[in-house]
Amino acid sequence: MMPAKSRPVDPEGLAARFIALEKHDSTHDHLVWGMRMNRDRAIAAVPDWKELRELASQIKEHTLTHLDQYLEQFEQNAKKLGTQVHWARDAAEHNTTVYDILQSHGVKSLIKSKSMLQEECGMTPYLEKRGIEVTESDLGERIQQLSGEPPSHIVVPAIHKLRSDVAKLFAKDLGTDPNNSAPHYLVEAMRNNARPRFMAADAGMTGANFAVAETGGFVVCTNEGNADIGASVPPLHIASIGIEKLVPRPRDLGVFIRMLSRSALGSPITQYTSHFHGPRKGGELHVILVDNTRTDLLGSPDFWHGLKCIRCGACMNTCPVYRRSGGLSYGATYSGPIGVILDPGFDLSKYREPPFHSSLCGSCSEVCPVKIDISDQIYKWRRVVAQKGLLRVTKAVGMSVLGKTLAHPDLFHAGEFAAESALAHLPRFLLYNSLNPWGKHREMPAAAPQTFRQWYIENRRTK
Amino acid sequence: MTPKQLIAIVDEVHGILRLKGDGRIHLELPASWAQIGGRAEPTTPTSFGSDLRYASVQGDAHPFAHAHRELLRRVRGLELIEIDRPDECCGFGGSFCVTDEAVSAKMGYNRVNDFHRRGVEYIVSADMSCLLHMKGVIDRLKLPIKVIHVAQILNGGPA
Repeated sequence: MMPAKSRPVDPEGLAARFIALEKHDSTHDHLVWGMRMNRDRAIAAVPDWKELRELASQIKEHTLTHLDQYLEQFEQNAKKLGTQVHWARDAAEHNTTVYDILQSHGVKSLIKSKSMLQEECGMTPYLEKRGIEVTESDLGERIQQLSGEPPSHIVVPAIHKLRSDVAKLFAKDLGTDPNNSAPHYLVEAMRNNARPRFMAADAGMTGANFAVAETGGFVVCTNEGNADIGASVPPLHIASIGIEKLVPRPRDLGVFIRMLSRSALGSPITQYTSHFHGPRKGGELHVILVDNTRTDLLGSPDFWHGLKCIRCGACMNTCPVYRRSGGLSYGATYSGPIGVILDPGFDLSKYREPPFHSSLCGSCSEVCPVKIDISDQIYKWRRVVAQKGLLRVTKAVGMSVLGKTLAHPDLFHAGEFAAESALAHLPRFLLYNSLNPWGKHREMPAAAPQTFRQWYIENRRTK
Repeated sequence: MTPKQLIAIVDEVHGILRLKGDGRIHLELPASWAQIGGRAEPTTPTSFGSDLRYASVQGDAHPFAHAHRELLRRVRGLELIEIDRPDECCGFGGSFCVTDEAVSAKMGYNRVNDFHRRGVEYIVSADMSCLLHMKGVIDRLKLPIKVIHVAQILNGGPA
């Protein structure tokens, strides 16, 4: 299990540093908001979006409440197709399973497509430590791998970087011109660098977007086709699949595939939607079904809905806090609103702060294609953090004072009077200093000549 | 799953809708407002998981969608202005505005600038916290924008 006392992440502090990089912050906000706008246009063109959303939510809820049956059905049908099925309780079991398979095949180099689950398990550093060369084949993920950073967004992992950052990075690693940040130039350079790695890899790994119980097959959606070549060139294909990825029937895919890319980028469908049914001739296909805290979540009345997530990233794109913060500020595998509700389940002590990194505007719940009550869950995680005594000291004291004040009318009126007098009479330097975060960028409200209560007592109060 | 307080908040606005009350919208056009005229944008209050649902341009249309926008459309002398990001949160968020100062202020600046770019004179809202926050930004930036509660307009224009 996770260590009991992990150092808490500091999303507020890291976000402030990202905001200070003005160009990065404004570009990030602009690009990510653009995806939200594209999403709006895409769904406006689907007349039955509302019904699709409801259906998607119901299919996921049905599957999750019958997950034991569907997982076993998937396993049986996958085996019939010649797929080898493994089960992993947690990240460690997942990683050792992968390593055992690789070792038994003498694998030295591995090409992988994007998988948030493998990210979650810390698989790449684990394998690298054991002498296996791992190459990310998704362009954004490769950029992140070369930067030594985790993905900052679950769909567009390097969105927090400027083109000029990528040009500098590639100059160092691929020998390109650091001053040429033309996209086609950089992409071409990476393509030439990656292609031989695909051809030389001993094994390919993918994740999965959906696994179908009725057939034992699974679906991988990409825009670059990198999963397909990675799964097709080497003789060994291993797919890591979170147990929440199940859907009952192939026809259910018609609902989710219509929604996934529209919600993510606003395109009708991903460029590649590949269905894998058993190993190809002469090859081997392994799937690893991974729990890693998912059953804990499934047992929680407040948080099990988070398992409906199809990892489209729409909640991140719409989130005003995420867009200003950059994904790396969350210090976790999953960032943005979905990260805020998933991360504390992995390690509450470490991820005690993200639930507070939200203005609770509710936009995430609005755009979620599978109707996860994200903003309500963010609020509920705050309560869990408080109940476990993990609130930051300043927050705990502040809330306690506020609670007492609001519960006692006399205290409240005294406070109100003091605040009004202070605002009206105190010199500026006493009102605006490091003790007043509001005043750093904003003016304090002017003192009203009369409070509403005073007005009410004078004008409307009946004896 | 709809939280209980959501209904309460929406009903409150609905109450304003039925100001003169028999279930249909009755509005006495505020003479003072018509005389003053003005360019206003009803901002979308987005406080805790609720208000977006009656002013949503993102998700399923709520029956109360754009309730106060519809009301304000009937007020003579008032020009409603469209901004780039009508449903963006202003960044107040309760204690968030001080515990997450950098992000909160950045959101407030971006939002106020969205109004300012369009030459908005009044920002109208049914949510006092949004107005409080945006006023703090407006005053710091010394912008010629006033904030006003939707009821102040329906009740006869700015005093």
